[in-house]
Amino acid sequence: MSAERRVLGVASDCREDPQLLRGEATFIADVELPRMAHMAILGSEHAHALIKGIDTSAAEAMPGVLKVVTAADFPGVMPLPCIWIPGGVESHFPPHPYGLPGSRPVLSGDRVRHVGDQIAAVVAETAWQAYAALKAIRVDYELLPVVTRADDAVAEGAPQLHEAVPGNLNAYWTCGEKEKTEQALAEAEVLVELDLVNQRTINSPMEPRGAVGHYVAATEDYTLYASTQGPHNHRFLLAALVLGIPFNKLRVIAPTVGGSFGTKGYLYPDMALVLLLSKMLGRPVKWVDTRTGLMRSTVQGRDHRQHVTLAGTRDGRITGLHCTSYANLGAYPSTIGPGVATALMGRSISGMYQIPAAFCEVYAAFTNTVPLGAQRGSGRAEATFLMERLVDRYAAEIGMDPAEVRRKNLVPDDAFPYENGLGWTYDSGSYRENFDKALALAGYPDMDARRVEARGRGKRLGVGIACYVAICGVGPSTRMSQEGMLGGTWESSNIRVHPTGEVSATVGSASTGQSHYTVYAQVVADELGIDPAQVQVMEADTLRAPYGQGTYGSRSFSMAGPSLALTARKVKEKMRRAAAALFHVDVDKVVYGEDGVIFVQGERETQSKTFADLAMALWYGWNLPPEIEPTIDETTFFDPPDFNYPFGTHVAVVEVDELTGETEVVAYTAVDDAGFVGNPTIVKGQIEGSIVHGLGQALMERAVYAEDGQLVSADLRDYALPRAADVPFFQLDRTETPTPHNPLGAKGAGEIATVPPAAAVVNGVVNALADLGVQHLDMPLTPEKVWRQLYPEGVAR
Amino acid sequence: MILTRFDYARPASLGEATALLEATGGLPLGGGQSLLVGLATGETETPILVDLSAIAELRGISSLPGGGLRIGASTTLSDLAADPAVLRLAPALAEAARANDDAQVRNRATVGGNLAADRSGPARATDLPVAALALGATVTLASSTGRRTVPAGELRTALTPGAVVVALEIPTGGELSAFEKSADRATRFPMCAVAVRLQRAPSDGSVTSLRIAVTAATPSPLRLPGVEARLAGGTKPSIREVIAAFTAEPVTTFMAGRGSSAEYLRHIAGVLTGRAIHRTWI
Repeated sequence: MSAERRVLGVASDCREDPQLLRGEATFIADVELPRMAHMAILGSEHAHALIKGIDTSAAEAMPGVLKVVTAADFPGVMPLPCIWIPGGVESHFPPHPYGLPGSRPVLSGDRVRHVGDQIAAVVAETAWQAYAALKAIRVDYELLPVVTRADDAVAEGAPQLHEAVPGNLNAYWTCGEKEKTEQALAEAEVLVELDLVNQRTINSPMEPRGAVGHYVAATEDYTLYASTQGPHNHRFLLAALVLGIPFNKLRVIAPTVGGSFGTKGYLYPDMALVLLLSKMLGRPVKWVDTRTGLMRSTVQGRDHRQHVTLAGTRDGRITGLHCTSYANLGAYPSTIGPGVATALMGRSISGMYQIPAAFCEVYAAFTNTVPLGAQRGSGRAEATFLMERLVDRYAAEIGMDPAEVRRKNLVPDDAFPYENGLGWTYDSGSYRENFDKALALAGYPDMDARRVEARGRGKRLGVGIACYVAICGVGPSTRMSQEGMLGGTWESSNIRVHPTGEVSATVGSASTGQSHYTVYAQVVADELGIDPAQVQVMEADTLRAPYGQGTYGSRSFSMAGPSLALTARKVKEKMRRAAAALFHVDVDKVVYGEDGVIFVQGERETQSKTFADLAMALWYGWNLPPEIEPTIDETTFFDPPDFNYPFGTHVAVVEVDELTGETEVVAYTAVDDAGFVGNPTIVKGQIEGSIVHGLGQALMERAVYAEDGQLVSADLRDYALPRAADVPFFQLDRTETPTPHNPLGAKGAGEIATVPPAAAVVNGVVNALADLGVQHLDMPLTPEKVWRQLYPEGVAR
Repeated sequence: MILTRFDYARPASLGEATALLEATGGLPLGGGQSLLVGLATGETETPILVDLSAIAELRGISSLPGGGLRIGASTTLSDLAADPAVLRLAPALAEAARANDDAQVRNRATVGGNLAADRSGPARATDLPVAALALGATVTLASSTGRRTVPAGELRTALTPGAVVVALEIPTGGELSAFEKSADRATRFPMCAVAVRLQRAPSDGSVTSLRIAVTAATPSPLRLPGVEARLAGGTKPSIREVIAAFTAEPVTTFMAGRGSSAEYLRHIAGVLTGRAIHRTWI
């Protein structure tokens, strides 16, 4: 990448911030339309039951209530679809009338399959009245047996959830080479095994989801305002596959969205309900979720139970890797959950290492829990956890420094593009440089002295390393189709040049807090040689932007960013052609200067036009040759040749209190490589937030389902999230290995640092307890769990 | 979202407030830091909130005639934690007030509300009662039938519906006291909290009294005479000895909850008490 970038690649404050800091941003709860009514949704109190009857009469008689609906009110409405299925294998889904994999109905009519399963909706004059009326709906349940674990769900005799899914098995999915791996395991000098629980976590964006539906009878137009990270996708899925209305009759608008972590790209019943009810009532209908509502219906994360095995030589060379995983999809397939739980996890398990034989099998199963989806770093975090735990276990087994084992097995720089044997082809990497930089920054060689010092304070110090590769940049559409994605995954952009020289850029992504407006303006301004202040950025409105796929999987800067750069290059090209016509020279004599001055080569002083001059000239359209149309309005649909693969090394230093078992992360070093970085301020914020997120899973987060399927941790009093005081200041640095797969060289960044912290912290705590013979501890590392290792019979050992 | 409808009143005198509570069966409102959460979740319902913030006699911290401190029920945790007299004469109480690590909550939450919101078990107990118990404090309550003053340890049973906390009175002799807490990860309420008060003979400085109180890990704020007896004798115990003094208690004295076993909480009570003793016994 060019070293003289003036605008892009430079740290800057975010143009979104003043509005957010002043409380002036419009979130979904702030959307107010004339005559708007308010909706509340009744969720099931039971995890698995037949619905024998629903009596809504008392609710209908409540003050302010306008309408109470159940499944019976929507006979013509199709169920929600699932659009990312386990690729290349037989799979089973609830039905959808178009022969597509189905998910759940808009409202569940005869049966509920998880606590919170949506049964009925009330619309009233006020939200207060709507929520109050929910309590008056009487549901007659006949309870069914419950299963909450994926491994239990596929066992003989387990309660069955879906008629169309025998044995609750959505799919048995594999990747890698089974026989070769089994042989490597059989012939191994050293074999280490672990049983891992990558516990379910609950996505906790600051803003719960919400939706406002507005149907205009005279024109038959629907508008959906929703807290969505993929308005274009939601438009397509809702119009074509749920409501069955013409595509051009639905507009989707995302207001400011207060975080997502992956949850707001999914299609949920409420999005259809507000539109359907708006049409029924002839009024706009608004719904905003509560925190407990979110925890009982918005997609949850992780949830794999795994048996993993690593084969290696006595001198530290990894020869084989085997993973059997039971993935818990929840009660219904979420919009893309099955793909996340299979490909995104399974193909990623070998991480940064060159492993000659690897195999992963996933049993993806339905259970009586909230549907599973993405959570920041999804799939890759679970994969990294198992690999990095195994490396440490292996190092301990052969008595080698875990850093040395890692160094010995890193994919070397000259091996790229590197096929990992599980289906990914890593684009570029400089793993050794990255690894060494992280260990140096963390002060790894000095740890023994720090251990002694800590012990004097009653603390056991442990060091945990975790390396990762996180596939991002979804993606190449054809390649994704092979992975079971039922749709394109390109990204789009448009740039319109105004007569006065300002530009408007529209993009198909949708920020949920990633400061797109700031960094996209940098991309455009940098390419065009203009001031970022001249660049207006718009997204998240299907009427305004060209089609797009949205923001997920850390894709925006490495998909929409390159798309914008390519569009800007089209703008420049047209400017050059126009200038050539006006100066009567060949186009190859026209130079587009980095400062946005367009001039005839060698004649800059006498034959030049500014960007604004040419914009105005093209606006007037005078004296243009017939092959040049007036004005500039360029669009690009960018579909990359392959994914991109950011990577990095994290080092956690933990101290375990010898008396209480409390774990404190006292130092945390992260050296991440996201390729070319467009705005270091934004990426630094994303890295820091990601680390905190990962530490949360390691130390405190866990969705707890009781035996009967009740979600015990259904509010923030019962579900712990990390606070500022729970984390240390981070030591951050970067390496920068551009990807060859897009013109910016950018890789994903937004979620990548969520991938390794759980492994780094657990490795650190196990390291701190190694002399006690501790080989593994399941997350979250609660104080008592650690204390049990220190005090096996309640007495210090 | 608060789903129940209720009225609101802000009387200027204690007499009006208690009469209103008696007549309506309503609830008194201090800083609202516990009460409003309960109203939002539907766990609490009331016909009326009687806001105590306009009542002058509930405000302020003052010296008692015979020594000691009177702390008005409307005093915020922030003011309590920063008060020079409290910091000097009853440091355990100041530390307990500071133990809620959310500054915005401390700015709103009141002494009366914190004492009244105390419930059984991990993450349901509040911070102040255990400090009050270790310090030998009393609490003055008012209701429509009159006033009475009860020992801090009897507050829960004495605080019947319609009664409000008027003031917390701290006797002299609390200069050597400390509070320690292990907070629940999610709520930051105590999983276990302890307070100790040490007294020395004026003549030779020898330790004459050691009071130890525990909460959250126990069903209510409790003094543990067994532990106190095991640690009596005037010799500074090591933390391991304090833990051992707790481990000798029956595990049934302690209360499991929030994923922690009674056995672990008994141990943690010992660790925290050991740390509190070591901060005061210098």
